[in-house]
Amino acid sequence: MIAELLIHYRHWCLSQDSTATLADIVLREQALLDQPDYLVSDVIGRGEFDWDFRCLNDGFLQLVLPYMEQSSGSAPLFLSVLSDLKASSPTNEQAILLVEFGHFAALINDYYSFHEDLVADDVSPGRVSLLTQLRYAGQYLSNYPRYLLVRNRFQLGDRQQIDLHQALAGVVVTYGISRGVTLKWIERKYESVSREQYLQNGINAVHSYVILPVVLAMVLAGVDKKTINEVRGALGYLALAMKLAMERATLTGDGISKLSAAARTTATALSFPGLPFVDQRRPFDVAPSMDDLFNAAQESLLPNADEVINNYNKEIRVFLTLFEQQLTHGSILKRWGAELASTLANGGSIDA
Amino acid sequence: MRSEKQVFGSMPAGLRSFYRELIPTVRQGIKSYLPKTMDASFFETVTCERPLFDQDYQAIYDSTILPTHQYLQASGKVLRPILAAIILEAYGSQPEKLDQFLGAIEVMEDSSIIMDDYIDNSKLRRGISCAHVEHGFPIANIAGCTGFALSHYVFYQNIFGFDDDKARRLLDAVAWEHVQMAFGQMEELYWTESNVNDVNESQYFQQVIARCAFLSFRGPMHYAAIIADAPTGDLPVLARLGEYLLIGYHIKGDDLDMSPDSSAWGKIAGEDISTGRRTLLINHTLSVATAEDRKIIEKIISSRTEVEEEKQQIYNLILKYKTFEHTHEIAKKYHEKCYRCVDELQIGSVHQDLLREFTDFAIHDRKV
Repeated sequence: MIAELLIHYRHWCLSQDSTATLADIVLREQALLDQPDYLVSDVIGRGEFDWDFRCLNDGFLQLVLPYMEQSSGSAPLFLSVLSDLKASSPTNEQAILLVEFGHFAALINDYYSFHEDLVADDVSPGRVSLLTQLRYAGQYLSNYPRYLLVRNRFQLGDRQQIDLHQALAGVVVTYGISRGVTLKWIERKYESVSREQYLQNGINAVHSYVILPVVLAMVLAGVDKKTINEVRGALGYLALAMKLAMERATLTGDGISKLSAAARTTATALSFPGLPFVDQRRPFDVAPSMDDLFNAAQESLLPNADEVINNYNKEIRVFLTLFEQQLTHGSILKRWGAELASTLANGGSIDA
Repeated sequence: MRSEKQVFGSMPAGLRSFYRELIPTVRQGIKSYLPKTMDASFFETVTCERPLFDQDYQAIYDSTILPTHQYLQASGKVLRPILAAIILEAYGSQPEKLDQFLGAIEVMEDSSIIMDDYIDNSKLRRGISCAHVEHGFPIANIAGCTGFALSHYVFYQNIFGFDDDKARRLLDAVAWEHVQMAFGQMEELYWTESNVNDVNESQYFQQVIARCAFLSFRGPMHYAAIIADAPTGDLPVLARLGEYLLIGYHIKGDDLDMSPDSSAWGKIAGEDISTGRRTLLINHTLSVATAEDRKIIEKIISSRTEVEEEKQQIYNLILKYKTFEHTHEIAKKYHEKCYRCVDELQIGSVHQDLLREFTDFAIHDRKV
């Protein structure tokens, strides 16, 4: 998903190294998920009574493993910012778990929130019950890596710990708001959605993939709050460019069809090409599920695909330029801006 | 919707007086903590992000906050903020100056029970339709988890300006509670989905503590104690007190679910059976029943029945095996343990008495 887009920015990426580092970190943690001794000593504590760990192998892992196979693609961004800020270390790199496990949980939560079984008029209790078990396995995934903060594995001072907690709390709310708004818009067939509203919801929707990894890396590197906030503002434009690039990819034939079932719901929700409809104030008249909406939108745009893609290209350029301009105002990351401008001038890989 | 009289009618006198005095502060705290509209400023507060464009604030409110407000309007018992207020006052803080903290605790509670309700597929809560019935499962899911996440901005935005050490300790405490809660939730859903029939009491209690103590009652007590600078030695005692209170409270809740003894309860009898939940009543009856009766219980519980006769059949078996007597004995034991914890706390006698009365009410006297 986002990875395919970010990978074009070679200067951001440690390419295969970062992928291997991420895979290694996730696999090592995955191996600990069903280890009672580790969970008791590091994660959930001993407790006065007995834990029942049967829920791990028979329930939890069976449910979540398919979702854990689809990386967020944010690792290169996170690792390269850490590296740029000279804060790379095995301990700090482990913080990518906070992004990755959150992403796995989002895949599951999206599967729940946008599942057609749950928007049907007559919802089967058995189906709801199964999906709910999955949903709460996702919740555990989302909360699990917080033990790294509780145990202060990153050996941070109070201020940095607070900033990490804050970033993680904020991203959960932003994620929820983006999905809640999308559900509401589907309900009303995107009527009366303004362009500005649509764009901001796009930023909120991909916040966890673009803004969060950079903020985490900057906090770990000890960057001051004022600078982090400046960069956050700029990253909003980058997030928007990414979101629109994902929408555009639905018309260029990339992406979703290649994804596993576990990742497809989130990809569909994020790649839904709604901007042309919002701009032209064209309402939808389809059944209220994300899949139906996505397919109808894609079908409707394909006859004019070239024109729509060109418009997307223009929009993406505008937002990348804004990103670049914001970063040149005193940001420690302004070199990104210069390199992005150069990338765009040379044919722009994001437009490829 | 239940009245405050229905809630505190059976409260011991001292607690009732404290409750009556404090309830306006809690209500004010809720009101100012969770506004009835969403705007750019509140968005920035709860997301820590400044929006670049205008947003559909009505859609944000409707999908993430409205269901919690509907639960808040139906008036819960507000026990958790009251308990937190007792702790604050016991260690020398003024609850009135921390009304938004007390409001936050109730917002946490009401957003989290949206999730409990769709897990149980309940129909009613406090006499009103549950959020998933009113808004559908997807919105209830988003509203529950987002409302719950944003209800903690009191801590992650440090709205009282606590020093860094205290602010960090509060956030660490919240994070730890949430890891516990998620693990406990997973344990219980596994038992239910996989029809596990051999859960022992120790496993059951650990699961209840993990799943519920983040709000009932360890979490609020812990947060209040940190805020009020309670002596370090009291923190583990308060944690134990919170857990023991929960066990007693939970047993009472299971009893009420099987046989609600007040019209103010606002729930449907025997929902735990329809959910297939392995409560203490069910687990204990399974452990002492004959093979034949055991088979009947297992069959009914795993069928998630809503048939009244089948629920009644389970109820009769619980009576036959004197399981209520067994659980009441356990509740009594934990009531005593709570009292012993209260004796250990380095607080004055007025607040010790309030905590004892809270224990009496939570474990014995409450009707809803």
